[in-house]
Amino acid sequence: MIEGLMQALQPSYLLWLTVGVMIGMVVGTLPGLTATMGTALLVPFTFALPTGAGIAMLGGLYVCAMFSDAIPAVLVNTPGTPAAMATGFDGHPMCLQGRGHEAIVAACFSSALGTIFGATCYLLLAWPMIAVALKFGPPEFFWLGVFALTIIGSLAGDSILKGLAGGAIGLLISSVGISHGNEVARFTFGVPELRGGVSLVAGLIGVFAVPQVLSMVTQLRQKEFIAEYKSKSGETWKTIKKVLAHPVHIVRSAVIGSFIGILPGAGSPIAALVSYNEAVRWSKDKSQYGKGDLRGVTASEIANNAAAPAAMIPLVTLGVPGSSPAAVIAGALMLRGLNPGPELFQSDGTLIFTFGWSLLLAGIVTFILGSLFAPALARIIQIPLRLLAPLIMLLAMIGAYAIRNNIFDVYFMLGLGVFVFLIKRLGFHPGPIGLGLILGPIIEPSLVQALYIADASSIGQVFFTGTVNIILIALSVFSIAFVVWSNRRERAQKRTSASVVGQAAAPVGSTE
Amino acid sequence: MRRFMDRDLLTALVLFGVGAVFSADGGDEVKDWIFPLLATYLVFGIAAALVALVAFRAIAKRLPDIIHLTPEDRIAYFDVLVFFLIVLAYVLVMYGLGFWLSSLLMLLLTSVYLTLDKTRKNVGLALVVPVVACVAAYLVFTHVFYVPFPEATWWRGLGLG
Repeated sequence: MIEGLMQALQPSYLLWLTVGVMIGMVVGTLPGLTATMGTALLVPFTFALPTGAGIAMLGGLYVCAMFSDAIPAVLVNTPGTPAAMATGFDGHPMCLQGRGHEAIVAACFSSALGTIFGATCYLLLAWPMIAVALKFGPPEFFWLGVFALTIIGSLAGDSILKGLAGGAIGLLISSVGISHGNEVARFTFGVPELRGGVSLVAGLIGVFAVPQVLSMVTQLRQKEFIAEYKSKSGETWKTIKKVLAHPVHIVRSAVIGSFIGILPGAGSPIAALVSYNEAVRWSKDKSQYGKGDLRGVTASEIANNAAAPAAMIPLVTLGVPGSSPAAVIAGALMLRGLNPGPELFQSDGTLIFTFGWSLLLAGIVTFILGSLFAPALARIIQIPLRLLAPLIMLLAMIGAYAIRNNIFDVYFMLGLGVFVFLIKRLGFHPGPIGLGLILGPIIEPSLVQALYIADASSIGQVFFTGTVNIILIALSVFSIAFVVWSNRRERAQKRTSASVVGQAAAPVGSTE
Repeated sequence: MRRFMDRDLLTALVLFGVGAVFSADGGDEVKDWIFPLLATYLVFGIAAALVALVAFRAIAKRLPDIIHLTPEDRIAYFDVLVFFLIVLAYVLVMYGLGFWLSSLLMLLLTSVYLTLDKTRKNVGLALVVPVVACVAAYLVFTHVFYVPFPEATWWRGLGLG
């Protein structure tokens, strides 16, 4: 392990790591460019480098993209990658309150904390963690998805019914295309482009970016900018202190992120969403979540960054990548004749540990660069809306198109965007629709696979037995019950305060 | 009549519409259809619950949650309509003009349209910023990320893609 650290600290390794981090900053910031695409594009450039430096550069890109995707989420309510969806729930309201710089620094510092925690798990706890991860089969993934769906309770806004409906719409849209069972074309309506399903990234851009741009156009006559940017001295240190003021929250988010990160297929978006949900649930003062609570940003960013190094754990221990960028890194290793898995762990342990240390260092480099650029980035909100709205629309177009080089994705993004813009007026929140889009591709295949397993036994045995299943079911039930209970309590509190205000106002009225 | 502009009633109508679209396709194999079917039932169920809620409010003579459109809203939605029509036209002519030329035109038209206070400085900015943005995006996406954008088909021979 120490040998790995010494290698990771070599100046040339640090240089390439920093290059990877800088490219990751660009990739994450631009909606439509994912960490997977970025790592894949970078692979050919790593051939000229020593193996350790090459994968350090890829790891740096991955880690930094998990931070920089928060930047558009905070500034223009458009997640750079699906993993930053939850960051925007509180990050953008912070930006509207003129706290964009604080939100970016918080995201950056939280990302560093998450990465350091995840990389420490990679370095120290890889084998015990993977033993737990191996207990996850299709039914467990199904229940994990159901548990993640309960976050709708935190996102629904004023109406749980509309939140649920939004989630169901997202799930339905995600089910378009070839089915996971017998490969039947569903809801394609004769359109060949729909057979391959809808693009998740285009869908998320449609759900978040397009309605945001159209809202900007509606606000054009009322305000010139998104929000006023006020530069404050010492903002970075003040924000760091604010983030560190919640140690339990930090550890909880990091543990959730690391654990979900090692589950192949779950990944950073689920980690961020579950972490956000738990942050809301365990908070004493929930009223500020969704309105610009710093803890909302940190919960999401710590978890999605902790998930990034953790996603490498199944890769190096079992040879199974925990996320798409991990799969690209596996490919980069294989192209060099190295097969990731237990054998590589034993034959070239130094390389594995060098990679782990590089991921940890990437978190630190990300924080340094992120906090340096944060004030400049936060000034984006001072671009006049009349110029910003068309620019974001162009980036949304490019993002939707670039993911599959398919113009149909652009049409889909625009259609979905206009639909979400209109139903927002009816009281829908875009969050549950995005949640449905993200969770659909995880819940449905797990459900279908579990049903196939149930063919050989019974549904009850597959879905309702096993420690992990029972824990996840209990958590889901608890989560739903908690939402119902806290909503009732909130309503009762509102009624009480209204009657108190009424009583206080009555004598004034009588004297008049 | 005002009750037809009730937010919950309109939501129910939208949900019935979404449910109807996703009910238009189906099959017998449980594993292929159970997931969308459950989601569709949920959508219909919520729509029915909202209709019941609206009916209960009407019977109990409670105030409906009406959507109001102020004159300012109408002007704002007109701006959105014009903006969206320009974007739609851009998508439609993209294959004819090529991605970058049509993008530049879209940016120029929308920026100039959205510039309400058409002073010389503001219009100048609305002309310069799109050009700079298009050149930067072209360099980043075409030469760094190698995204193959649609090329012009209307004047392919002139090589202006």
